Amino acid sequence: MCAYRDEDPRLHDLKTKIRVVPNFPKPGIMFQDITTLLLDPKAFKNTIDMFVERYKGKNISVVAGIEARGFIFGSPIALAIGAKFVPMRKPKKLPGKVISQEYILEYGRDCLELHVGAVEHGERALVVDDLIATGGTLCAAMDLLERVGAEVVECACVIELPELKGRERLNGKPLYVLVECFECCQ
Amino acid sequence: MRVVCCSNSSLAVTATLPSFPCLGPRFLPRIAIPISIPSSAIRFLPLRSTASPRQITTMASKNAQDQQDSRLESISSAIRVIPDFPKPGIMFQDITTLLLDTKAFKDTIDLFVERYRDKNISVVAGIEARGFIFGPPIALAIGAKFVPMRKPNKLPGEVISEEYSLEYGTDKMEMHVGAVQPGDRALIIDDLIATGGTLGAAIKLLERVGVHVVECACVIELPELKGRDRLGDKPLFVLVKGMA
Repeated sequence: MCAYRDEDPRLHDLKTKIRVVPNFPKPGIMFQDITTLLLDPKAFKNTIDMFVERYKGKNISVVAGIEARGFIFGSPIALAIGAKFVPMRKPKKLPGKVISQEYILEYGRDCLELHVGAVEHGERALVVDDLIATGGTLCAAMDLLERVGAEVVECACVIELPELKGRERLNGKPLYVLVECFECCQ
Repeated sequence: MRVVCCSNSSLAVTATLPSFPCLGPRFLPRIAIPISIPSSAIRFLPLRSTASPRQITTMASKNAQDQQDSRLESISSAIRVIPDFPKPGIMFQDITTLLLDTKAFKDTIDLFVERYRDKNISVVAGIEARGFIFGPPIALAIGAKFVPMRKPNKLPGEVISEEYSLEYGTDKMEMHVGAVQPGDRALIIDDLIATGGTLGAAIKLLERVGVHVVECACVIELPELKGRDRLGDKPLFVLVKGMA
């Protein structure tokens, strides 16, 4: 069951384009698949437009996209608002000097990396991913940006799973999402 | 023809061509390719997929050519080379610095969009993960679907796979069943073509389900690795050529 954030008619269309795949990547998870949204050029464009309308004119100089689905949304947003695009990647993907941030998963740990010098002190940043679940990845991304002195203005995702309380993990940083989905984990 | 290269390049430079300041030892020779070139110019490397050469006879078209070249120059100079990544001996062409230059990044997308907007492309297939940075803005601008081509076990639901060979061993590429339809006209995007293995696998995947692959498009080509030869009869369009 998914709720709409408000009555923007574009959101209704968007919600119908997201496909739910049961038991992926493991039993009990109802995976929110945005690839079907990308197959509808108008819905995909509407998605980007809604973010761009919110962030244009807010002096955002950096859009940080989280590998890999954050690249799909982050890159067009960056281009449209005239910001740099900075990929936040899994370990050993970025060449050259990086800084890393470890974060906790349900079982074990993972790590996110950012290029040294990509983001400068005082820059205003937006962090983009397709979905926020527990908030671990977004939190690591924010930490990395703050460590280099950037100001994280907001985190933006297409989908939120509110029951997993990811929002609370963002240390008070605002989170903006287009669609909320409930009962996605059993 | 305008060329951006280092003085230690192994390529010959004729005296009649304009010269450009050397980019410095940090950069390896890289050649910015104009989209179309006068037939009287000397070409260093054959351009198999560009529009046929035409004479530049008017000031208007000459200005357009100059604008084209300056966009390519700034794109080329925004790309960073990292030696010995991911392993010794590899000169890695890093496009992340291009993404930090908002004008050059926009120009990159514009150059692809200008080429493909009137070609009736219904699908842009982007190869994980750097193809996800260039593919979606192109897809959005030309009104095409975007289809991610991914490493194994990333795409949920039903997929089809294509195995391809690496220098040592094999890898696999996957695409969603039903993402594309027979008769779709596709463009395949990645940041760079090296040996052509990945692009070749993407072509096969799409053709297996009846899609017509119109062209492969990359920001960078490493011609010495002959990736172009692995694409069968599919044309390849690139903005910049680099040394491997």
